Amino acid sequence: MQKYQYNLPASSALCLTVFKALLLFMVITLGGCSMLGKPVEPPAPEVITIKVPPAPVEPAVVEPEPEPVTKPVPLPIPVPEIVIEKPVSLDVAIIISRDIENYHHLSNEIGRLITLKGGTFEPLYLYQQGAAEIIQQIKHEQRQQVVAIGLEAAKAAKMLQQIPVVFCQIYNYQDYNLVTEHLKGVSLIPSVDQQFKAWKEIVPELKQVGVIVGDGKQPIIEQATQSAAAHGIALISRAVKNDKEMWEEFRRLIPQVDGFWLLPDNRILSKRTLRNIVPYSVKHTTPLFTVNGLLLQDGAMISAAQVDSDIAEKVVTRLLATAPDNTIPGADIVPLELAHIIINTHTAKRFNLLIPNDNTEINIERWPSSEDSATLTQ
Amino acid sequence: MKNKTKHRSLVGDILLVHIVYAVIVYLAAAACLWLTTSWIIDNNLEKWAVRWTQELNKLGTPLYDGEAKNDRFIHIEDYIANFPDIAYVTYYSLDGTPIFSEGRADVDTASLPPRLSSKQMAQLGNTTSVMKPQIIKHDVDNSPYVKTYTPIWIESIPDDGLLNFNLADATNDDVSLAGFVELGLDFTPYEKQFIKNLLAGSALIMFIFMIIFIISKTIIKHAIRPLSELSKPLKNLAEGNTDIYVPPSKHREINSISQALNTTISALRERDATLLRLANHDSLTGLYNRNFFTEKLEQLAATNSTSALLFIDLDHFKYINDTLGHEAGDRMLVQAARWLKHHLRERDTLCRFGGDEFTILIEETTQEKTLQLASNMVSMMNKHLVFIENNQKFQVSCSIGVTMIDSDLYTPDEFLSQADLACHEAKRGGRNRHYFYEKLKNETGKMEEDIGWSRRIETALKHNQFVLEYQPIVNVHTGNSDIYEVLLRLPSEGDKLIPPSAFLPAAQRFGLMVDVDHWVIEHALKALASHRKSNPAIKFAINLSGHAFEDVNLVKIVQENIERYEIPPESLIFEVTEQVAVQHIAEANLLIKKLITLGCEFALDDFGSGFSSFNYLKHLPIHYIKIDGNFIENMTNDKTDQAMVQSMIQVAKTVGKFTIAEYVLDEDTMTLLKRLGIDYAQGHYLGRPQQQLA
Repeated sequence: MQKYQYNLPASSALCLTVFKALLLFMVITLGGCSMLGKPVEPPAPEVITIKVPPAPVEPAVVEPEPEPVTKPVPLPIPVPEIVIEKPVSLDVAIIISRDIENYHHLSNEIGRLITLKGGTFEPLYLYQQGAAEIIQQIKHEQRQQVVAIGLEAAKAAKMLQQIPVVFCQIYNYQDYNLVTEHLKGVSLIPSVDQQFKAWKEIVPELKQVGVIVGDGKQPIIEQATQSAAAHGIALISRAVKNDKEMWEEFRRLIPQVDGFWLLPDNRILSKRTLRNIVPYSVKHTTPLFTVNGLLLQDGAMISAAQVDSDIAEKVVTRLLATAPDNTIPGADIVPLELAHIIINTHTAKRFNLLIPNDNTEINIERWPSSEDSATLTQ
Repeated sequence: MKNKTKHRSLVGDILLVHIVYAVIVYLAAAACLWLTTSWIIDNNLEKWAVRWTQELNKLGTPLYDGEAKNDRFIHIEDYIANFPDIAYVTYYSLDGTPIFSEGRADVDTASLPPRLSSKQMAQLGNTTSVMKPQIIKHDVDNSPYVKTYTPIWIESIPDDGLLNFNLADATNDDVSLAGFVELGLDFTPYEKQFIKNLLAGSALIMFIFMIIFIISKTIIKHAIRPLSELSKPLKNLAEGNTDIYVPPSKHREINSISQALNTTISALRERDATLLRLANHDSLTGLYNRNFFTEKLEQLAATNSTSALLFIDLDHFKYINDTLGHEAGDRMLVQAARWLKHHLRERDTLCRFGGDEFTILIEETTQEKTLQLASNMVSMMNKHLVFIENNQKFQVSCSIGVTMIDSDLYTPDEFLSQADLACHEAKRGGRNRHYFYEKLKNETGKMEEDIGWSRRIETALKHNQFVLEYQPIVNVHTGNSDIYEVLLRLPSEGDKLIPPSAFLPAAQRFGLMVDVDHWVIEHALKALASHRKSNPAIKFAINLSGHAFEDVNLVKIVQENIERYEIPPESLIFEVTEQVAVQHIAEANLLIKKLITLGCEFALDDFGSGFSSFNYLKHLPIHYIKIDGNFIENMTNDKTDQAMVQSMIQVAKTVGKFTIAEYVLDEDTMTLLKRLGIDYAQGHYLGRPQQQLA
């Protein structure tokens, strides 16, 4: 199948060249403006990693990474502006929503980073103690900061009026009005820029990518559309209400796109729908890009998973940036800067795709085995 | 009376069976077709309902988003327009309020009957199955539609764990109930079409049945025509006509019947021939018997032709029979019959008339030729016919009486009597000769006398003119006279009684002896019953003629009269002469046994007159022997007779028989008999025959 090995028409190539030039101009201009403003947190290093980054991760606020940016960021990502007025001592309660392995790993990573920063932390398990008891305990122990991992934890932490809370692992935070002056978050989505870069690396002919979202996600889509455009990808979005519409819209959208980005919007996704979507994409030779690595075994093409250290760093940075009045400055949600890219070699082979060599700009893990990848890497 | 019963047609019955069978098969097939089709329709439509519901579920889900999406309505309309089975679809909110309804053009969705109750709503809401219709109502509230209700569920992955869920994980997603969808299905077009097809098919099958019925009727009629044609030969057969032949049929089954009928007809023909032969022939010699001869004689007597009747009696046959036995006598009769048949023309009728008597009818002959024939037969038989038995040679001769059948003045019986008389005359003339009846001029009166006797006997039988007399038989030991011999008398003019020796020969010649025997039995038993009232110990001894052995009704008549007059059978003693018994030894033995079986006793009369009287004592199951009177009447003066009587008494006692002496005329004889050991005595000395008992 030669779906991804065709040449662009001359007009399209010309437009793309002009678009790239404009994009470069915008980046230079914005970069210059940022140099003129207040001191800001330097952008996250452009290390594209697959594994968990080696510890320790230096606190971004205290010791910003001196290394220069190896590659220009194609699209400016909103970076929180944190003004350091006084050192913040970390005495953190980490509330964990559910007994999920990833939550525990993340909790450990955050705790480790807090410790490195000289702070203390205590994990609290919502699924064991209940919201009221945990709130009571935090107040009683006079914890200075709270980290909420998962929606239920964030909903419980919202009851802590004046204590700064940073939540993570939540996608539809706006549905529950979780963002306040004391309550801010870290994005669930791994770095979209890294994702687009990996897709383009693996599927060079990728031009149009479909995405379906639920209500309230149009801002994210708009940002992502800009980032995708920097990689020569046009993002075609649709909005639906539930899983049935999702499946119906998905089938309508697939013939129009070269790939599909499956965002983790639980409101419009169900396992039943996904059991239809994943094989449907394989059947129609349309790569499925997901953030859930477990879907690879069902036929998804590429997964871009979170990197725990990335999340932990963003969380601790936000905690350290807490103002004296316990408000948390900056954007409602700070994006992630890393993505753990894994390619499904079976699906790639089925789609006749060539997997890039290891010496490429992006570190791409092969699944399920390196032997298979060797055969694919030509 | 004419039988008016209307017979059913075999063809009709066969066709009726076929029709009944066909109707049963058709009904069974139609029932199976109906059930199967209904099942298929229901099953398929149910499956289709599931699919329709699933699709309408998806199409209608946006209705619950709170936003009006006209394109969704259009999608629903377009979808149900593709399926005429879907009468309408209605979406309900959680509280059961219809929020959208769409239907076929002929369905007024606004006037649909009441919907789900709150209880049913709750029941649907509690179900966990998502896509399968949950409630199916058939003809509830008289609606023509089959209704399905399905909850509309919305599923979603739990908020926590968005990035690490596994599709293989059986854990259910979060589920929320949005509302319900009702699907009204109209299956009536299928049912109407099915009934229409069934009726059309039935009409076609009926038409085919009609055609098959007509063809079958013709075929069956043609097939059983040979069977019907059998009625004609069967009817002839039923009328006794065996000269028929049933032609073979091309049908195997009917051909078997034809062959069986032909075999049966052949068997019947052979049986008729056998019966005819047995009826007309003598079993010993194979010659014609007396019946056939009498019929033949009557036929000849009725014609105008001149024929001759020869009555032949073998000379000294009784001697052969007595000395060599009956089997030897039979062989001699067979040999004589063959010899006679060999020397006659084919057209002449030879008959064994009885015993050693033969008769011959010579048709269309003259007196001269007949006499020549008779003369030749006498001389040639005497010369050439030799009977050899036990290395002994016996020269066989015969006596022939001849009469010409050339006049209508005589009856056949009279012609027979003429020949018989001529034969007796030939015997009386010294045997081995023939006599012609016309030459017996002196005997004309005797024949007329015989004819007179026969008429008197017939009259006496008809008017009960015979008289019975009773002569006592005295028990020598006790002196009692409880046994009486019944003696027949024929009254004559002047109140004289004629003894049987005068009229019984004529009765025998004219075939009246059987009737005489029957008359004596009936009247003797009637008298015995009367006398037993005064003397219960009394017994009657009744004489039987030689014709009794040929009388097949005799035993039956005896039994009927015993029962009629309520007489103990042991009070009856039947007497038959030794001469007659020996002539019909086999028949005598049989008759005696039958009467003894009834309980009667038997006496052998005139014992000692034959050559081998003692021999028969062993073979005949008799109770009494009545010593011939010729030995008794002169025994006081004749030592030989005395010795004979003595030996007969001794032999009788040895074999357990009682002895009776007749002709006891004086006291000396009585005294001598007592001394010799006689048991019973009878004679004028002891009592004369009288009409009243002493």
